[in-house]
Amino acid sequence: MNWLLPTRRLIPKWRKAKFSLHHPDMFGLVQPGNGHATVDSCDQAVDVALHAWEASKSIGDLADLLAFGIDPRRREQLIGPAQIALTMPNATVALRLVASEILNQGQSELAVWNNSTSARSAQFLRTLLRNAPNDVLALVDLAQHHLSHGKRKQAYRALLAAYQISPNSVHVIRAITRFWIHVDEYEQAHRFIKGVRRTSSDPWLMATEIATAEVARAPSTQLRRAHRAIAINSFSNRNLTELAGAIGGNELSNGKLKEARKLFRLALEHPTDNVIAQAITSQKYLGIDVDEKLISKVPNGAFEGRALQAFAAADFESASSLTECWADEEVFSSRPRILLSYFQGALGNYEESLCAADAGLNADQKDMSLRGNRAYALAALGHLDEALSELASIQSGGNADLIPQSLATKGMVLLHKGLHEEGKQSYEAALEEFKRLKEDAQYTDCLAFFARAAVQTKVPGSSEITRRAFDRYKKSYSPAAAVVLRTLDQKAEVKEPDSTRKVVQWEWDRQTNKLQEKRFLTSKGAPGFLVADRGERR
Amino acid sequence: MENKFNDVQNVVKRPAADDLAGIVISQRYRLERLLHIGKQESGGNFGVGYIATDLQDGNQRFVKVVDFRKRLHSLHELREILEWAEFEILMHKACLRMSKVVRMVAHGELAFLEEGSSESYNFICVVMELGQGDIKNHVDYAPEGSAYWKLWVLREISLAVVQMERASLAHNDIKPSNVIRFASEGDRHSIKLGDVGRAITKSGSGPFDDWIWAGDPRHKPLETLFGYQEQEWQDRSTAADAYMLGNLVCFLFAGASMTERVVSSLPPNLRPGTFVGSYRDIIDVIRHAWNMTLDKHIIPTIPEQSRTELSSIIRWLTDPDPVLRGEPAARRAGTLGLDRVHSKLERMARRAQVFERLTSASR
Repeated sequence: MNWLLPTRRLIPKWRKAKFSLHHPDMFGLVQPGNGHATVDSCDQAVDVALHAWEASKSIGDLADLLAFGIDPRRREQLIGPAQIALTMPNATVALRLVASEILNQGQSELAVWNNSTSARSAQFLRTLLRNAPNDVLALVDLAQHHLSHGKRKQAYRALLAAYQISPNSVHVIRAITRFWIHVDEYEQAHRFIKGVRRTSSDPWLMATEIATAEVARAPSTQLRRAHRAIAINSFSNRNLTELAGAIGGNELSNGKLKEARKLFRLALEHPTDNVIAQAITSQKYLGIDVDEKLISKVPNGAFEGRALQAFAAADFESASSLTECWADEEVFSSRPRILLSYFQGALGNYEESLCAADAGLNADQKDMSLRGNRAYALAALGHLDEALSELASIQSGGNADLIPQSLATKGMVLLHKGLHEEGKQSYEAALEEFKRLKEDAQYTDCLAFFARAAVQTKVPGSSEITRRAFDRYKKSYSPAAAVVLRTLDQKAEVKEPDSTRKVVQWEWDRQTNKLQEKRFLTSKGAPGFLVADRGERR
Repeated sequence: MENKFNDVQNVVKRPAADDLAGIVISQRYRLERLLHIGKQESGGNFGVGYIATDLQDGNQRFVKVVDFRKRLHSLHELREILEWAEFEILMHKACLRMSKVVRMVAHGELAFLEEGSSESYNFICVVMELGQGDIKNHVDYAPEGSAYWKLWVLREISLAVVQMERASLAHNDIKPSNVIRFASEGDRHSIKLGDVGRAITKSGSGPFDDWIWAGDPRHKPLETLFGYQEQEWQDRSTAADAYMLGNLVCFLFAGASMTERVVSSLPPNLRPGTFVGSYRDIIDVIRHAWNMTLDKHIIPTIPEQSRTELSSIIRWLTDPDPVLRGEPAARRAGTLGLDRVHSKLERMARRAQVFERLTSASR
């Protein structure tokens, strides 16, 4: 089993339209408002329409009256007629929806976006596009569907059409960049984002260019401008979040940890889910505490960040469901599928693990990590020949990084075949390989998986292997090993996280009885709340 | 032909505008009963409506009485109401030859001179042909309801829009309550477009020409909700009429306003009044919401035999981008092609009529 993902960078997320709507990166610099929606209607107008309906009691007058639901201030007056509309036998679907919208706010939005089959069915998206070929969001969603089935050419065509219709759309530009990165055409991705006119003026696209340049190992055309923009506060903090994160990531890869921390603190003022996930991934270097309060600032979900946190806390049940949501957002990405198949495999849910691996391979057949996880799930389910053929395909792929994992899975296959000694030897070879590569966490994981395979296949001396795995776990912590050992009834306690820096510290002055929020990066382990006695000190 | 009167009547005590029943204007129009007072849905009407009898031919008329003197306390209001009333008369004059726009029969002033007073108190009166009410209480959403009648209504209103377009006018307040039924001749329903008081002129001389929107907000084109206006008159005003015609299709078949449906299906932070960006920034989201609303809630309500053609018409007419609105082939030639839409609707209505006859005969 393998959970190692490619190095995470702050490349743009490409979510389906229904998820993107609530994220600030959809419109770039143009931000949705937060006031009250108003459509002005005349004060007496509802009375006249109400009077007309009361006089005629006709469904047409009722339909005309309920159209005032467009003005939220009129809804109270419309409750009675709306209730009647719902009981009318000839009321149309739309009329019923108008009535229920008046009675329970937000119904239509849910009906159109969230409960829509469009997000799931490529067929529905095609129908939408047949009717309105210039529906850009449907084109971008359809491209995602194509990509999730490995149809790169069709995905590109859909994205290109979307770009031609809406060349200024931040949503489309970021999706195309993400597409090129997904298909490993890093230079093409960078060339594209570099050439977009809007890039130099929109911080969301500047951030994309910086992150893409890093992936493509090319010099960024926006880095200097972005530094200046941050220095002179060219944009509001809300719009700077991903830009600061992208520069922070750049500083981090240059080894400038202090600078990177400062920039990430700025990025976390109004974080996006992308920034949150990046901060959690780079926590080893940044040491920034990404707590629930910070995550709750993200407009919607933050599934990736939450899943990574649950992973670190060895809560693989939550991590699995969060990763599923993440996979639903980015159906084409194999990243969440790798984690999901790993989590399910560690929990002993091999069917689910196999499903997740298959779904990931549907999008990217060449992903060897997914093949490794699939081989493990197949072996655990007793499909030993299929598992061996998967291992053979990994071997033919020539990926040296996956040699120890393959050896471990081969060991499991051999144990299941009853070849206990050969199986043990293969596992030991895998452990030896992890030791040579100084992969401590993976060594612990491998030993835990070895112990479970030994118990399941009733290998003589399995209790000895379990004890060895548990001792190793106590010495070198790994969340996956904790989960696997728990399935063997071992009390594998989760390690307390290392002390971290807070981005906000509250200070209460006892003398003045004032509570003050201080926005700065604290030292490691500093408390979130401080009591200051300034008066006494004086 | 224009029929203008200036009627001065001596009275003991001047009656109020809503108390004129029984009075004969210009020895020809006897006001029978009060119809409505005050503003209508759009807030546009500012007069008192009466049903009157034309003593010359015995026909019933609709008389609108405007009491502008009541606004004497505010010069601004007075000027505004006089301007609107004069404009409405002007518009009616411009539409006199249009067969599908409710016609003005006469107009003029009705003045009352009280005993012992030298100054008369006058009202502006507009006499119009009287219909049988609007289409709202006639529409039926039952699946077995007549599609022919609905298509014929659309045929008539599309013709009214075409007639106004030819006179370089845009109605800009097409809505169910302004679509008036008249006596049918056999199976030819006579439908006319009423209330031209909010019309827009291409010359720019009308009081509403500078307004972003003067009509009913429930039926506003989507772009005007976000304060967006095209530069070209055709893309701005005729396209708005086209949108409202498409919106009328939605009302007749689905019982909902397209504007209301699309706005309600947007997330609250993207709705008009909250979204701070430009219409062009949000048009992709609006188009997707519009497309899904049509596909899920509007199109399925159209009878199967007319569904394909009518759904295309709704899409042409209500496109969120005013520059793309209209019949596609005509758009490529530079016009909205509402005349083509009219022909299509007529053809569809005829077909629906035959279909309904056949099905009723087979029963």
